[in-house]
Amino acid sequence: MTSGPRPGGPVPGSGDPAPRPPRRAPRSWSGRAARLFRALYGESPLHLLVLLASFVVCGYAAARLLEGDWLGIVEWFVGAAVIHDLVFVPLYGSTDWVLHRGLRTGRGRDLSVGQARERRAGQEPPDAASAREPSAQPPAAPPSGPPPSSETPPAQPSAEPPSNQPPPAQPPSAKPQPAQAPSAPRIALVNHIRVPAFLSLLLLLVYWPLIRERSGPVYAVTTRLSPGVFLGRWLLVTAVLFAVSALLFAVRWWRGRDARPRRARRARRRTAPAPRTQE
Amino acid sequence: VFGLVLLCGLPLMFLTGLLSYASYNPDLSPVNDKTPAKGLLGFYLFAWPTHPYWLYRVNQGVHVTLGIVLVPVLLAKLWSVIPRFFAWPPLRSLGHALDRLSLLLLVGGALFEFLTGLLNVQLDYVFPGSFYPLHFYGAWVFFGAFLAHVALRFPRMLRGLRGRDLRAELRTPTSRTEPEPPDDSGLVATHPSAPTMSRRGALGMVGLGSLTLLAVTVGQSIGGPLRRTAVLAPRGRNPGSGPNGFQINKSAEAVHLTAQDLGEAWRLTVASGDRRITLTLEDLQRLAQHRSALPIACVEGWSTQDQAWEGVRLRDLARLVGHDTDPPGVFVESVQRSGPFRAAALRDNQVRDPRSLLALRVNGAPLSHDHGHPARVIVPGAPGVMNTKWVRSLTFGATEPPSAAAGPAHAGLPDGTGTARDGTPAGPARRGPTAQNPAPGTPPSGVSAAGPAHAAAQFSGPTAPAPPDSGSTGTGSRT
Repeated sequence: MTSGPRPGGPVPGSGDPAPRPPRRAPRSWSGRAARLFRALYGESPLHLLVLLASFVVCGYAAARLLEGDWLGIVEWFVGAAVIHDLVFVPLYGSTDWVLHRGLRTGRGRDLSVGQARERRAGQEPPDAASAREPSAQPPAAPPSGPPPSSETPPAQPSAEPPSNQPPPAQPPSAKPQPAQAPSAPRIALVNHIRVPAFLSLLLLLVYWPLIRERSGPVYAVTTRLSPGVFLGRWLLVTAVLFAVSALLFAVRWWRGRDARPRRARRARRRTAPAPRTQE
Repeated sequence: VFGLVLLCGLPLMFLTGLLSYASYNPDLSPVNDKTPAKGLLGFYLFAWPTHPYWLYRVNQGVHVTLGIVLVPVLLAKLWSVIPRFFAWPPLRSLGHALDRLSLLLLVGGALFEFLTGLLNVQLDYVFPGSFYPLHFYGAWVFFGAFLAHVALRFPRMLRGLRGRDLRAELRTPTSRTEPEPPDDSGLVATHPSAPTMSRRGALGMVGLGSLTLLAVTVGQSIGGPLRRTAVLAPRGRNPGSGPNGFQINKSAEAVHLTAQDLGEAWRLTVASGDRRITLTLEDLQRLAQHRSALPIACVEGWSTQDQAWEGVRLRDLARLVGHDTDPPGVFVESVQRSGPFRAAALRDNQVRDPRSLLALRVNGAPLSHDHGHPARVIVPGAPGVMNTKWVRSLTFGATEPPSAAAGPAHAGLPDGTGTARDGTPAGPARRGPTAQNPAPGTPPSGVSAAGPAHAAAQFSGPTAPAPPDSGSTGTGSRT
């Protein structure tokens, strides 16, 4: 799921496999009938039965649902599904992709990540961008510190090119990797932006009508509460989310940096004696 | 995993939704029922109880809060199966075509229900029609498709859950996350990108989304000091302080009531059959006063903590018009002239409950205009809108507007806003000691006959479709 569905068109080979052949060989007449049914219908008789029962319930309710402005309601029903699939999913998929690209090119050209972030921040409300300001130090720091490739022990320590090459430059010496494996710190950075951004956008999506004050005057006169506070509150929550994420990232990074020299020293001690004994 | 969460959550949503509908006692009177064409879909209705008094509050809080919390789970579920919507060829067989149609009802229904619900609790009435029928019938369409989906896909979900040990998966970081092995679901990426997030990370992110939504929402249903934690929920603040500083469903201004409507000229008519008496506010205050601590809970999910109401018991008022024991239900009408729920029918169990009041005071102070001054109904366990504000008449034993039942010369409008048909001014001028069939125990003063007054015109409304002018705002949710 995480690595999974990329929106933007049919996924090749994602179609179901051809209907399975009937389990038993059609020895009897009923077996032949079952096979014929499957050939005509494509699924088992039980499938048809369940769906028909379901359509009875749906149809009964839909007849009542559509008594009013039926065209408008059908538009909403189908429109909700279509807009979700064709607009929202590609939108958040591509936003995520842009984030990845932005960070990758930022690093590849040895720009500070802050610049990549600024590029991204253009798409967001100013407060949200400033909220991420505290996180500017930790990600920008790695170039000055020891190479980040040694930061995390597992999997692909040597995958990170120490050079200033653009991203596609995978060192040919690296062991065979799944295509374009990003380095662990970059993943961490992406996720420390991705998670608060996801939470913030989720809040925006759910409380869009209030934040946009779509029902402002109605809300005010109905509830005797001021409708104008929600945008500010959302921005504040967003700021807090990004700040917490940045803080966590900083803590992780510092702990990683503390651990690194020690681990490196230990590793050197472990490997160092070996050549000596060989000598 | 998302499927399992939804499998538990969505039926709970459906169930609390059905209960919410039952709580209006829609089978009692057309004015309580916003979906009169329900037919068999109302098969389960029952007399809504008054015990426990918090039943509606909890039911509605769970319905709305759970709905909001499930949004990220629903989106994640749809995200995880999105390639199926682009599967090719689109229709393989008749069975496949029916399957896809069912999925359209399922996905469309789910999004439709969440969308109308979210818009309604934020008072954004943009959907095509009145909220109640859309959400109620939409829920049945969705649930029909949901049952089929569960029946057909349950084995696959079990296989998916058994295929992976959740605890092992929770110990797997991103660096060791492997792509899904190919299977026959058509959902596995054929050219997976390198993992940037582990499965536990993805689950965690969705869970964190749910928790965040819970944190900024649930306070509006719990109330008290926690209300302020609901920073993004529509009812995360109190309108002012003091005895009347709790949530208002609809202010007096919102329904165009003025101080004049609710001032000196206000009278309460209590009737049953041919008996009818009219009381002033002072008369009501002279009757035995009782207290009860009850919350206000709205269909929109917010609620208040218990408020200390003070007023006359409904069953005492029934006694004034001859129901000494076992009073029947009552038909309550408000001074409010337009908009839905300006009248409500209460069932006999609601009238008989000693905690059911015609409240005159709250938390030690007279009711404010926004909370129903001079008098409002408060019934344990009833939805907010059934607790009619600005009450002008109580007709025991009736479930329909008396004006519609008995002809025009019946219901007097004691608000002084019009003239009676015979030309005498309505209101105080009509006061006189000429009560018809004065009831035993009738207060000595202020009793008057309700003369021939307003024609039925005022009251053709509650059962009819909302007037066009209130279409955009009036037909949405009420408490």
